Amino acid sequence: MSVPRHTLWQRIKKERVSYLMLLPNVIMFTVFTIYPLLWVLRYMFYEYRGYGEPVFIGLENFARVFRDTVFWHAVVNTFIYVFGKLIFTIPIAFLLAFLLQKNTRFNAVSQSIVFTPTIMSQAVMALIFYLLFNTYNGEINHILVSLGIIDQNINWLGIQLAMVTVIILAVWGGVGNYMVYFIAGLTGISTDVYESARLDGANSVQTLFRITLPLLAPVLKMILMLALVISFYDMQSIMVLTEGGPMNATNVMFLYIYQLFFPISAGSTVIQEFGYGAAASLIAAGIVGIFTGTYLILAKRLDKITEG
Amino acid sequence: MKQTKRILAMLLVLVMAAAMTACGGNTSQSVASAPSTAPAAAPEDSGDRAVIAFWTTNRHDAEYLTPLIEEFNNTHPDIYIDYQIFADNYTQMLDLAFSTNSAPDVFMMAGTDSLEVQVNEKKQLMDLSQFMTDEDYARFGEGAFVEGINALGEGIYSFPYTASAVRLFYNQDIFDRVGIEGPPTSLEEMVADATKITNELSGEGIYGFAGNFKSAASAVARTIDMINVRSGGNRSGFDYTTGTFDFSTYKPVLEAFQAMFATGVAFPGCESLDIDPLRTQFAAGKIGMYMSLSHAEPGVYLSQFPTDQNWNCAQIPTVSGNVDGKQQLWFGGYQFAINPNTPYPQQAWEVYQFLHSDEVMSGYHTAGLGTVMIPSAVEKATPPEIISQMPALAITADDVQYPVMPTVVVEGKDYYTVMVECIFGMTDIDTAIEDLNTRYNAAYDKAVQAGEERVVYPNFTPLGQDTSR
Repeated sequence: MSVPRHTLWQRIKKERVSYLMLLPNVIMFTVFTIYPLLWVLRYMFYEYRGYGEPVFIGLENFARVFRDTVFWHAVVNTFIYVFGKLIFTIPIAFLLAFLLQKNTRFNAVSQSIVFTPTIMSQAVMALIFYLLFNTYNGEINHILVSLGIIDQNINWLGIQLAMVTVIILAVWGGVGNYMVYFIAGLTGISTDVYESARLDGANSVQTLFRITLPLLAPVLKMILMLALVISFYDMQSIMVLTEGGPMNATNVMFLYIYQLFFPISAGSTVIQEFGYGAAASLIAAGIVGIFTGTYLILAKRLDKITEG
Repeated sequence: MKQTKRILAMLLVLVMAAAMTACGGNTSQSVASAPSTAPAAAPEDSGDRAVIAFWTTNRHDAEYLTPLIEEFNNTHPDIYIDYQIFADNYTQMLDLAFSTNSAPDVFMMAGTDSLEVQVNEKKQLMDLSQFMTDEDYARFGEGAFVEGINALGEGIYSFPYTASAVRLFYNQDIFDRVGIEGPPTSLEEMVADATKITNELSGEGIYGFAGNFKSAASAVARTIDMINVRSGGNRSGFDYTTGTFDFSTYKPVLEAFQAMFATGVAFPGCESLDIDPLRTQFAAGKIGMYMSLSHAEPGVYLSQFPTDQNWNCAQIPTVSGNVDGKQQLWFGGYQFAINPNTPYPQQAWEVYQFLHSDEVMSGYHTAGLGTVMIPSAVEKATPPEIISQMPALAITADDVQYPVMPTVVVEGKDYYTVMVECIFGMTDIDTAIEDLNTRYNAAYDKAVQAGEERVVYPNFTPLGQDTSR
């Protein structure tokens, strides 16, 4: 059923302040999200390097993505990175939130310290990590050697350990943010529930597992969802710390795609391939979509089971 | 009350809109403020003056060029050079400037596109031959304008400026300590020397050889690529005589590097080493040898990372110890270009001539800021002191610009990455070479089928460089 023209106009007029408020966001969203999305959807069927006439090649770019071992290596790396990051970040963030939730001066200072990496530039963080972790004169190796824990410097940024170092950086940078979410969740739990548990004789471990965690479940679900999506798109710090190397050991999906649009190495002869990059980014977005969708479905089913 | 709220809301929207406009309006300014603009007086009467934007990424010569440009601006009431030095992402910035019609008038060329693409497809380069006199051609000497490098047919798109070539840099003090008499001339010697240094001095954190393998392309291009061509191998795997790719000439070079990098002889952590951190360790006396650029290293150890180490420079070693091929210049033959859409072509040409003039470039050469490729300027220059101290820094007849080779869009890992994998023992060398030959030839065949002319010079040899068909 169509709305009469004058009624629509009247509604717009009536809500003009709201629409005006929305306008900046709509403009930004259109320019920086909708337009690039349409651009990608168009060029993924073309061979296009940024100049000259784009050549229509149908589904060839997609076929190439499936043949591209570097891309699939990057996909595997992305999953290792995401799981490596979350498996440490979420429990540590929760633990910190649990320990620092009470409103004391010490806790406030500690929270600020833990939160600081979140507001730091990722590029700066990565540069500092390079100074800390480089093999030849990194501070971490100095400390470990002086404590007698190791005899020889560890090659933290070498092929075997580069991903571990990248994950350490990600955990360090992400814990503070998720800690704040958890604190918000924890403060939302009514003190009456804790009081009842205490009267029923529950000890602190029982309270944690029987009261706090179940009541925190909806918040945890959202935090995990956010953390998953954000981690899939992480690439800035990896770009600065390792450039995806050595030998693609830390190359993740979106860093690889970024390089197809903007080759990053100074001496690189990587050729810009907008069409191929567009196709790869659609497939990467599909992978993220499928994974997060599956997570949401599973989380909903889990809710039903726990509610039942 | 309701009215007041409404007014407040409207005001808020206005403020937000104004903020957005301010952000948007600043875009062009922020692009311009990204580079460091060399200190110079702003044009007072730009209404009557042609402002020629000059973009470069050369920072090492800013101290030398700034006063000369200031003097030019002071003595040319009709032209003002807006001199801007860029750092990262220059290629993207230049492309963006061209696509938004805000490109500079005179600029340093960038990127990896062939000259043909830059001229015919991107339309970024002006044909300079329209301005050039016989005298201009004569200044650069014979063979200065090469098809596909700085010329296309009758058109000239850039002038030779400076050149740089890869050399072996070594620490004489370390060599003396372990009793190595001189720099190696063959790969076998280089591996033996590196091994000797590491074996005897690694306890002090001193290693025989290092490479900046954080960027595979940057490392391969300044190490094994150059040893390969100087040993008579196919440049970047391309065999000009058949017009096909054959990477097999890299095998002995890869084996030698594998013997250093997969065994612990080389400096630890080279996989993640950038060139500047490598240089800091060389300056600290921790590295025996590495390969880098003739134009850059002297300045690096003079001002960027000053060192009291007794370092020196030599020609890079070859597979056999003999020079069986010319060495590809790191850069040379072209540098700056003029935007074909400049509103001031005549003034831009005047600035272009000034930048390449004998007055500017002879001083440039003497100051050791680069090996100048303009014969008339070099004749007037006093040879730079550093060259007399380290003769191997000089560009010689063995350093040449190889003929243009095809640009192929290869599927999967590029040869830089594959070769670094070989060096670190992750991939078998024979298997890697076979795989590269297959993939690079498939990519080139596809390009030829799509209409690209196959590059074949049947009489080409790495020493003779004969490009007759």
